[in-house]
Amino acid sequence: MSNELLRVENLIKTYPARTSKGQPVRAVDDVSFSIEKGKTLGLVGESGSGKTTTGRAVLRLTEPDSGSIFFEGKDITKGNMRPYRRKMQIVFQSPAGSLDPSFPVWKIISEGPKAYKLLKTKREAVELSRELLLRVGLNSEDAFRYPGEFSGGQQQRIGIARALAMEPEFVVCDEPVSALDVSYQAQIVNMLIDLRQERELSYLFISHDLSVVMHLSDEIGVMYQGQLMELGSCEEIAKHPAHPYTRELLRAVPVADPRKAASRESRIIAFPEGSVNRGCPYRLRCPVAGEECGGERPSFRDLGGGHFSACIKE
Amino acid sequence: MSELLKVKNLSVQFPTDKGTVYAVKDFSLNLNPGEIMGIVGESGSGKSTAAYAIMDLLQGARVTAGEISFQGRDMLSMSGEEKRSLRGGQVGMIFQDPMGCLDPSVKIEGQMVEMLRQHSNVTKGEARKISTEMLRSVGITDPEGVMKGYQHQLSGGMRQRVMIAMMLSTQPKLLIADEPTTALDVTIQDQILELLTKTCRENHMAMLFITHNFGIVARICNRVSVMYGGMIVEEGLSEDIFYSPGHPYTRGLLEAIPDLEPGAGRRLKTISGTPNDPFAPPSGCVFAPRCPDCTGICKTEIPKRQDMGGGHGVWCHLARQEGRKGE
Amino acid sequence: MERAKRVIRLFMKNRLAAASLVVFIIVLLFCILGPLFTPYDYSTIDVKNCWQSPSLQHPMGTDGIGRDTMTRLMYGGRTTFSITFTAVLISLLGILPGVAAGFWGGRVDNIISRINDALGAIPTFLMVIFAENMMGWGGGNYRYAMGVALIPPIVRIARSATMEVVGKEYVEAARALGVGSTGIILTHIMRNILSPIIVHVSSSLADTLVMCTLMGYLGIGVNPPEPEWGNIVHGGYAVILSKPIQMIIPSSLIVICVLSLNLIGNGLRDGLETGKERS
Repeated sequence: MSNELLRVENLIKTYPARTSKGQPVRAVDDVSFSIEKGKTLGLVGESGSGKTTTGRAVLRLTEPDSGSIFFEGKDITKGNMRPYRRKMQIVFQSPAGSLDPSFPVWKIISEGPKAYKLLKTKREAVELSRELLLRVGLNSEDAFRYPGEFSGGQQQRIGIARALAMEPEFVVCDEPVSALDVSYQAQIVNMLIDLRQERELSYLFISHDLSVVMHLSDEIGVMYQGQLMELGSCEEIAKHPAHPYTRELLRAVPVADPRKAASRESRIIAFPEGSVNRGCPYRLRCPVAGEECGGERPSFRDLGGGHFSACIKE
Repeated sequence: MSELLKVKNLSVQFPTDKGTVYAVKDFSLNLNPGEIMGIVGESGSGKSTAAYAIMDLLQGARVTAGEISFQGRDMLSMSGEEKRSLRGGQVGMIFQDPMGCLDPSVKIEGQMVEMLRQHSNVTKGEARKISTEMLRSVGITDPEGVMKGYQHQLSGGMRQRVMIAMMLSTQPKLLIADEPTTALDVTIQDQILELLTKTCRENHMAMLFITHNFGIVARICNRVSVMYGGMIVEEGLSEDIFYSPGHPYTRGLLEAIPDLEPGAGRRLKTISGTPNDPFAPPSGCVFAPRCPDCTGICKTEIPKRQDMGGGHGVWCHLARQEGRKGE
Repeated sequence: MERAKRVIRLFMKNRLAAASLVVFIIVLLFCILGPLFTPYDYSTIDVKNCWQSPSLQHPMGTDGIGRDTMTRLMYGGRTTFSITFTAVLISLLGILPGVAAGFWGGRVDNIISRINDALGAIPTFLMVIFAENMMGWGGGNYRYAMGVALIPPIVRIARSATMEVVGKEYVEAARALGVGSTGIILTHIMRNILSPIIVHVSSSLADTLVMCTLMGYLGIGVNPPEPEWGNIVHGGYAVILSKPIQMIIPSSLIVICVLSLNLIGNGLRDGLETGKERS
């Protein structure tokens, strides 16, 4: 496809085992997807599903073990990332942790352009930060304040301004609203939506919150224990979820509507701990799992219209 | 009097170097046996502080109240010893982080048995049996194995289950749950919520559930109090709060939540502005600085409770007029 | 530097620390500027006036061979402080390997940490005696040995502080912004490991001062006639019963310095920590 901005093929990232006896942990296990220009792919999954590592690996903040990453058609898996850093940015989960407490805001925002020698004087740096601060809904005088003087929502705006300073085409949003209160969450989500339109940005939007992911993604990938379980358009995932895990997620997310909530049934099952080495990783918790799920690792089946599921049952 | 827990005009102040912070102001609630009540609000709204103040768990705070009574017994005049025996016995508490409540150096078994024996008259053997059963009922497949281990060997979800099993083992009449599922994955959260509501139903236990998540409130609560800036701004049955919210803050929050439908880039409704500075609260309505409908009176006078009927109360000057307009 | 201003303000709010700083500066000025105003020389022998009690001519009396004690204390302070400061300055060299070990981790960390552990295992006294033997006794050459002996703790502190900072998201953000390793070390790391190092340095100044005077007192440090607080205390020891003042004054100077340095350290720690919290 000519419109394709980012393509990831068979990405694998393994971390060494924590104990001497244990097996190495496959944080990202053979993940492939692509994102078109101006579109958003949402990655949703529980803690430890590898969604964050995937985001980091795409930007090569952690080096993948194998697989390839293509950006604008060029292979960026190996070699110097510096030419691509300007076009690929990231917004982090923890608003406070991602801003250096000893830097004034203008220095934080202008750090990237400065690293590329795009700004010559302090005045230019301050000027740029003021402009971006206004764009993200803060005051231009805030440039001289320190991150600790801002609330969580405002800090996240500063983080977004820092990413925008590079004028990127692609932004990894790693749980950007998870640490925020509901009223801030909506403000940040709106800002991301506006910016996407305004600057033709593409996002890889990572979150454990399926409602937020659904709200602003075009496509959704569902991850479980490092593997993609299902990938498809937002509509398809919402209306015709094909994988039992996706259905479980959709059922478990609490919605702010008592009548809808009452119509759902819940079940208490004993959760087995740990992971499996063979077969489908979800089979221990899966209500429809059978003998055959313990065999080969299920591969993606094409359900048509760009909808894929890694379940052999359906 | 049938109320299990009754709180009237509770106020909590924290004296600090920079001045006094009013963390909670004029907080009242009635909780009936078997009822699940939600206290919902954003961070800094005072929802946890209020609950901790009720159980006398706050340090360095000035707590004043017109009345706090549990099963008709006045808690304000209770001795520290009596309150301690109430906590963990008749009143259970679970928190967001179970790590802080479990002793890292004692095996789970020891802690559960000790807890039971402190609050009820059982032998060690009986206590062990009850504990095993409790663990099994919260969905732990291998209770014996878990009991022989320490808390750090368990995952977050397991730890929270152990905590809940421990708190439920004394068959409390009231459970105070402070964001117990916030750190957990949604599928595990779903199970824990199911477990808690089931226990409430079966044991006729009442629950005070503190959360920031309206989805959870919709799923489990009969009644809700919405808090903002240390005060209750709206209270009522879940149905009333979700389908005819009377306070602009409640309305704003409900509209700000994405609804698990494909959004296709629709903007969400937002509440503009930032929460109040705790050292300089507004002199009128706490929500006035962020309120889209704010009028003159809102800035000068603290609103009184406007009764909307059926236990639905709204602390807003404009509530009654709007109610009429709607009819 | 807004942050420095804030730390200074918080430090000054801590009365005890601020007072200690004033006291310490007075002692420093006494030693540095004092010799310009004294009519005596620290080594001229004047046997007629030995073991004088404090008087207008000799405000702190004289020692066993008639030298003015106040003058000797001024010069001695210069020696003591110069030894202490050189030793601590040398120890700052440990920041570099510490940051490197914390930043790159893995094999780099392994090698640096092993060498550092080995260095830390050598007793300080042994190093002092070795240095004196190599470079000559009595002249205060042990300052270099003390400096080297102070390196291992600095390496450890710099290493662990760096590791903490490296784990922060803002370092990852800088990397994502295309800032290179050197840039990250020079900006984010150095700034944010500063406070534990400053706190450590202020307390290690006090320890080194004690060590330095102890060496002088034991006779393996700076030897007479060169004055040094430690050997002045030792000189006064001979007349501890008849002229206790000759021992009390130099000892109290040492105690005052150690106390004030430690209190300054406490003040700095409080200032830097609350500063960090708010910034």
